[in-house]
Amino acid sequence: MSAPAIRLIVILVYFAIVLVIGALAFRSTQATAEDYFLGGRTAKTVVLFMALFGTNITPFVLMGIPGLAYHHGIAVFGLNAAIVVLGIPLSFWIIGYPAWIASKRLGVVTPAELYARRFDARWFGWLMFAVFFIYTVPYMVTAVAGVGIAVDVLSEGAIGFELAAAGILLITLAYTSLGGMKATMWTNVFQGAVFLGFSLLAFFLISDDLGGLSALMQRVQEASPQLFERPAHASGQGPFAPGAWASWALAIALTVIAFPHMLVRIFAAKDVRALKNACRYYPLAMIVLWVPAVLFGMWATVDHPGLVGRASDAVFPMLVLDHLGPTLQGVALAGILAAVMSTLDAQMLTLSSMLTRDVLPQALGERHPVRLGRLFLVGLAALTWWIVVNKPASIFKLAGVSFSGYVTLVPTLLLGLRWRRFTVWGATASLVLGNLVLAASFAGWIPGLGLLPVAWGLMAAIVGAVVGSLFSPPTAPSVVEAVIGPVERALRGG
Amino acid sequence: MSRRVEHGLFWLAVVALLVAHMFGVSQGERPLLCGWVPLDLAYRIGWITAAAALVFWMTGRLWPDNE
Repeated sequence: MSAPAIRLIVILVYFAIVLVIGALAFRSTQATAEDYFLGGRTAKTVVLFMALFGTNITPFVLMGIPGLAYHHGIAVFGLNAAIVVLGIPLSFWIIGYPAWIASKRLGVVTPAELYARRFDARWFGWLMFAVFFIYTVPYMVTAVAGVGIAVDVLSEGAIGFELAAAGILLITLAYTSLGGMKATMWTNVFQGAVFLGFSLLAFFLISDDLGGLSALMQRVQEASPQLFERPAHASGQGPFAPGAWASWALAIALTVIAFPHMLVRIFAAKDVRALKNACRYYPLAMIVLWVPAVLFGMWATVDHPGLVGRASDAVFPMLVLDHLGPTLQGVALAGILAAVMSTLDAQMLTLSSMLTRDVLPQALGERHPVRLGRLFLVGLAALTWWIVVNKPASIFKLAGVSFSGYVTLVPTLLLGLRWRRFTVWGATASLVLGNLVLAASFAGWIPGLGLLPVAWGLMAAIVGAVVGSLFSPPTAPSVVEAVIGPVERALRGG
Repeated sequence: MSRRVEHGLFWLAVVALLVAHMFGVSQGERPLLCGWVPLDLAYRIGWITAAAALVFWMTGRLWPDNE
């Protein structure tokens, strides 16, 4: 049997398993919004952890990070991996847990719905949806573009970038629109296991084929000793300069809690123990995930030297093609697809749930929530595909814009659950000012002073939140009490 | 130890880790650890281990079980 045929069979088996899981979830999902969009709030430790972890394993890690490590070496691990191990659990405790308490008490399904209830202002839900939409679409684009690159390389050009991108969107659309949150969570357990298993296997097999771990790393060190140092820039600019390093740490540590699909997964937790355990397992999983990703990029410098710019985004599939047999190449592709689908499904479902519950007229959203959600998913998939085929920027750059934008939501997410004096005008000022400053900073209209745009966007969002709240009338105490009351009692009780 | 003191110590440890995050280890001419681990990677894994200990402290003692 030819190598392409073997790879195709492996991929088809993978898709078949995912679709069977989706179909099983469909059979056990009732037609209520809470069951479809939150899986009936039944996520226990393993499902919740894999769902949360699955939304972290994206082409940003599997394609973007090796691509960046190819140029900048081991410092990429310190720049990205370490800080999230602390930042994400802290944000889960400070924002995620109160949001989970409030969502359960109020019976809300989406983050936009929760904050609209917090201010008794339905239009604020529309604003939140707009911000979530603006930053989720580019993030989805990074995922689908990652698949396009991987399939293009691993099929040796037989399946083109555009076709691969369309294929992944269609499959994800199929099981997500059928089975809702249960399908995304159940498939995430399978996808996370495929991804982690393959990543570890590839780490040992590829290094072995390249002469063994020690010999390979020493070859890299001899050929490119600069990859073992934190890159220094005489100008004090660049991602590894202290100001940029600190502000990127801020972005990557805070952004995850502001992913709408992450907040919805938190809402789906069955109990507090599941939330805590997800945080406890996270550090080890991140080491297993990130060490291979960074080292793949460094190894590629001796195997495929001379790549320039975003061409390095393809180094992981290039290594797989050169050093693994056709079955494992098929599994590699399945691993990349798993990484993409586990994020993409959650993003699509969350935006869809926000549209039907928070944006459409209430009567319409209540009558046909699931059917309208499915229609929206189709439109969203088409939009994503159209952007992907126009290839706007490198995966890392797109993810950077997306992550930075999410961070501007953090003051609203936090203060909305912890500060009674926080008003809808404070929240609006925070979102508007934070995003205007972020956009101006990305455009170079305001001096960075050594910090990345995300730092300025966050500062503006904080200022907007505080000043806007203090200069506007307070929210009615009964409205505030409905959300913050249960949160304060839960936190005090500890 | 009172709850307030414990929270204070926890956040002090968080700040110390954040400061440590700003530093790294230069490889220079030194050999790789165990023949393959870059020194900066070893430093980061040590950092992550300390962060994991803090996460266990936080989830075990500071984060209430109330639902």
